[in-house]
Amino acid sequence: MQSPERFRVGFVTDGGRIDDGSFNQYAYEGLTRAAQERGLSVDLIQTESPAEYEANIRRVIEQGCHLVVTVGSTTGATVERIAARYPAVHFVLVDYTPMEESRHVTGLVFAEDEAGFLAGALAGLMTVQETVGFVGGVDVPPVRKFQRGFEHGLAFTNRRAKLITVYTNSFTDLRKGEAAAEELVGQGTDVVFAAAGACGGAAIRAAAGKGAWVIGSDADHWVTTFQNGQAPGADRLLTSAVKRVDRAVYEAVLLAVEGKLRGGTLRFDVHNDGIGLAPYHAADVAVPSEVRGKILEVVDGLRSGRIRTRVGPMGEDLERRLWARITAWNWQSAAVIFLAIFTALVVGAIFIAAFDPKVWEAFREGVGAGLLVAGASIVKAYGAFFEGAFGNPVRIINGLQVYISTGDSARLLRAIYPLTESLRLATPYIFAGLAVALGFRCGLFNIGAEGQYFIGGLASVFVGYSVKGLPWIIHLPLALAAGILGGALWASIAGFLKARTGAHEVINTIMLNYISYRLADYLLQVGGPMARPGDSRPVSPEILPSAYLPQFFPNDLSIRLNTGLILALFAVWFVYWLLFKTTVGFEIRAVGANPRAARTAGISVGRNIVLAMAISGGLAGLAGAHDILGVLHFMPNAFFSGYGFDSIALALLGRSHPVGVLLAALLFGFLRAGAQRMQGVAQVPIDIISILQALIIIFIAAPEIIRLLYRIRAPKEAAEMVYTRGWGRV
Amino acid sequence: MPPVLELRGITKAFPGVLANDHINLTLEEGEIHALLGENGAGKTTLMNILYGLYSPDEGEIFVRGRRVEIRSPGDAIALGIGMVHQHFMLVPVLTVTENVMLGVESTRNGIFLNRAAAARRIREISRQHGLEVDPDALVKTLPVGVQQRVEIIKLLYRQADILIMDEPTAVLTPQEVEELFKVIRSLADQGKSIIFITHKLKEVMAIADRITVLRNGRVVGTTTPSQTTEEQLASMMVGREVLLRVNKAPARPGETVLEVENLEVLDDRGNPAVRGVSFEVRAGEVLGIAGVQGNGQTELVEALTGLRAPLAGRVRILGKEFTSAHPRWVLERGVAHVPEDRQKDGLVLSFPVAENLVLNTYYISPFARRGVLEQEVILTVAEQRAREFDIRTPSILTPVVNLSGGNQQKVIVAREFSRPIRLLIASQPTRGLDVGSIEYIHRRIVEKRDEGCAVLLVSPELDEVMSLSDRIAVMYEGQIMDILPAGRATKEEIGLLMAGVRRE
Repeated sequence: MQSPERFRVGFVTDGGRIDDGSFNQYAYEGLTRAAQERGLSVDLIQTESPAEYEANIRRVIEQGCHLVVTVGSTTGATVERIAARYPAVHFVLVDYTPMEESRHVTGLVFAEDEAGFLAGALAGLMTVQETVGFVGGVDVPPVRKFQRGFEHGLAFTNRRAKLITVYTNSFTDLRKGEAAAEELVGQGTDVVFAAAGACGGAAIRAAAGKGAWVIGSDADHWVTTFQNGQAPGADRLLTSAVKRVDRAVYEAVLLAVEGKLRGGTLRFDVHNDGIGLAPYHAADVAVPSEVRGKILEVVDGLRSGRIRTRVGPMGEDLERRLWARITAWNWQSAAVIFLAIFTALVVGAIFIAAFDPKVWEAFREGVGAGLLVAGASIVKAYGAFFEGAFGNPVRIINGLQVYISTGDSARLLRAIYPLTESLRLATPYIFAGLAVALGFRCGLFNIGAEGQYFIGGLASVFVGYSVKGLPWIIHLPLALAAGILGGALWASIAGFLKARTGAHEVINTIMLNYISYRLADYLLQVGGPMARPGDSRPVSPEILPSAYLPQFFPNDLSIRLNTGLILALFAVWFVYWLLFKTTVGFEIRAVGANPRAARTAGISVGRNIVLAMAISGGLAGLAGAHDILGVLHFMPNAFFSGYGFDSIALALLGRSHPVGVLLAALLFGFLRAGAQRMQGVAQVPIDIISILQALIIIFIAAPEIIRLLYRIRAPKEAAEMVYTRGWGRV
Repeated sequence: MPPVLELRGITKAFPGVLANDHINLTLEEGEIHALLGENGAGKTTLMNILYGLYSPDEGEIFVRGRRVEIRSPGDAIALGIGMVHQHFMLVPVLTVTENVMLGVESTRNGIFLNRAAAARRIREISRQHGLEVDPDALVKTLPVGVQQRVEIIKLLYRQADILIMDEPTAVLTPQEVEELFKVIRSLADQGKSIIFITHKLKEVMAIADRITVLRNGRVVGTTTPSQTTEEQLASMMVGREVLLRVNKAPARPGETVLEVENLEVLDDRGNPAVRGVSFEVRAGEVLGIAGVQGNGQTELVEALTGLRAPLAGRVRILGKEFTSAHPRWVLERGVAHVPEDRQKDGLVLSFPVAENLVLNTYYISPFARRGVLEQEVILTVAEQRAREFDIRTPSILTPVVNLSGGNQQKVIVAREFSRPIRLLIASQPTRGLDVGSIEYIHRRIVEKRDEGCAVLLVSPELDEVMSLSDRIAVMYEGQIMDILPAGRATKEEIGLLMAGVRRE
């Protein structure tokens, strides 16, 4: 690029002037400095109207310039189009990311998020009323980056401060800027940051006039908006979040002269002093020294990478904390789940009415009477149902009052009995649901949770009654571990067969279920190896109290809720942690989502199938151990729980996410507990709950039904979740 | 007379993209109209609208001057519009006749299939258009080129007179392409109108009567082969001048990195796919393997990367021999692998960009410590890589399934090229990519070579092999026909070797 004659640089403004305080001015200043130092000749054209811009660019090229510098925020695409025809000329575009791959178009981009972050940090330290305002121009990436950076910087130094954001949708309309500032100050903000071009200048001038602290953006507004401090309100200008366009252009031009400019983008951030805060100027006396120190710390933090703005290149929020996850969650699918439950209850109500002979009789007398009785029947049934699931609110409040005034908890405990019963019923569902969900994550359909539950129960009851003389602190974990190990080994048989021979786990786990039932038949039959001596029923001996899972409320043993619930919550956390935070989980998920790519990346598919099956089986075994050690304390032969199949529904309902499974399990616990009371009080057959469960699952598995019923538009489909893979080697 | 087909102002938006933006297109009777554009330019969307798979947000379609609504492929077929998909829609275990009559079965007495009548019509059609095919052959036994003929016969059997062909040459040998072109010519001569979708410039110049170029969902222009040049078309396609050749310095080969000796590999069905192959690749050179797809290249690469155990022979990487290795062992020896099918083998599509960038390094420092992922490091490095390799993605947490093909490939390239590697095995690294991405990936490969990495490039695109390689090995039916220095090899010579014809 260097040539014997003088290196010629063309500069074309984008419609602005080289003395208007816009980027044109700063870019030109940077260019001038480079030109003076290196003896370059500069061809300047100030564009009068946008229509001439393209011709002006061509003109400087035809005048023989080697390098063309221009502000590209709005004109970048045009320049790129022209650039395609002049591969020998290099183009430098301020504030623009080139779209195409080319070696002779260089975009200069700025870390607005870092500048905004610094401004936000300062605002957070300076606000007294804990309310801060942001005025944005048009919602484009650079402005968005200012805004997000500001927001995060503010939160960094002042958690309590409130941020009010206004977009004017204009960079030029001064009136809109003033109006925005008035509105913000009216709402009590005492620091206003504006990133809205000339419109933003007007905003901070207006806000300063109302006595608020103001912070400018892009350039030092002391010089521009406040005319070197001459304009009124200059003393209210704290600083400006500056993009050092002059410096960026200066460096880019030097690189070009040396033939080192390679195209792509050059990024200017706090590391290379490409962005930063302008001097405090007149506000200098008002900024306390601890605030200055803190700001310097933040600058250092950003430089070293210790502090991050958490703003992406397009101004998106990289906030990765739980709350952001939740808010970024697919609320529509949550709505579908909620509506599925609601619709199931409505359909269930029809069934309840239809099952009631009194309703039929009433209908014979007339439709009105029939509907009345039907309504009463439904209210009675669902009343009992909710009381059975959550308890009677009046009794709970009474119980609470008695407990507070006398310290007697008996009434309260009796009142919350239904709730504890729901939680107790939910506990094994949590374990079993997690088991199936973890399998799904690895592409495995573990339909054998029932059998693993069984084996887990057998193993834990054996350790529970046969190992004697241990303190509970050893005996209980040992019995639990036996349950986990039993389920894990049992399930890994199916995993091993799949990994080795490709035999499908659905078939094998079903077969293993049958084997486990017959194994229990044999072990528990009267006179069998695990039978209770001298008993005529096929049951195991009672386990020792040292293997009991402790009760939640030891002073009211009628409440059967035990500490297994805590264990289950721990399991939810553990499965979450394992799946999403560890290398083991990474492998399991990769194998589940795409076994071929996982294998290509060096992950052993077979090993992970066996491992995932084992963990899945361990969780199902833990469900069995919970029911033995926490509820029954012995093992009856007919131990069928139905968890095996319900757990599949739980995993589907919870979208194979541990937290989803937890919520689904709680739902099932409430349904079961409520159904029991509904049968007792309203004589509604308990099977109605099976119908409700089935309906919920159908609606969730076929969301189209719900979308059709409630006219929800289908979302764009994300990547499909793979639940299971076919027969054969993977 | 009105045109056979006219599209007016067709617009179709998907979330975040305007796939088609007020597209106008006319197709005359007996015309071969090429629709040219990069991947993602909106060609396939437009044709799917025409075939009733999508409904347009705006715009009108006229068939023979009459305004029509096409709501399903059934409607399209009824209007005489037929489509040959890129991936054939044939049932392999059925015969040609059965495949052709599928869906429009002719019957005797309303119950029994009348295969004989169908076969008769198929013979008529094949005679009429020079589409040679045996109606009783099982489709799975037919070569790809013939299967494509079956697809065309299917359309003619359904009396389609507007034929849409979506990238029909992607799977064909040069000779098969020649034959296909003859067929297309003869169809056009008999009054059929053809829309020919492609991104290959040479084909367009050879076959089209008119060419419409799409870019970013818009019609850039319509022209004819006599009025334009390949260079012009290329710049219309991408919106700028394109380097059609790769600039690279002569190779400076160093030590031998990969040695393959008498390698024999079986394919999935247990048939020999690689039959006694020997070659070596040295540091700082690109060995290209040319050949029509399906001549053992896939199995060869799988054997070299430890994904498939060879039957016999030896492979040495940096002097270390292995016959049957775990893929991880190979990766850890400093071998980078850009797999042939990026979506099936290279990426976990439902994983975010960041996780795909560490798909084979997630377990080592600094990405994991004692089995726990270092999320912050993974994300920070991912942000750097995304910037360095210019991966265009809304965020590094976006699942790669939402990225364009070129950016998906850049994710793989970023992952493989940022490890310390000594050998790069790249299988069809630019398959299905737009010109901009192809240029980018070629440049990266040459950079790696210049850094002293050995490169094994496998590609059925002869242009790609010829422009990137320092030496070219031609594979045919599992054997290497010859290894030629790239500078002296001519296209014709390699083409003959690809077809199994050895020089005397």
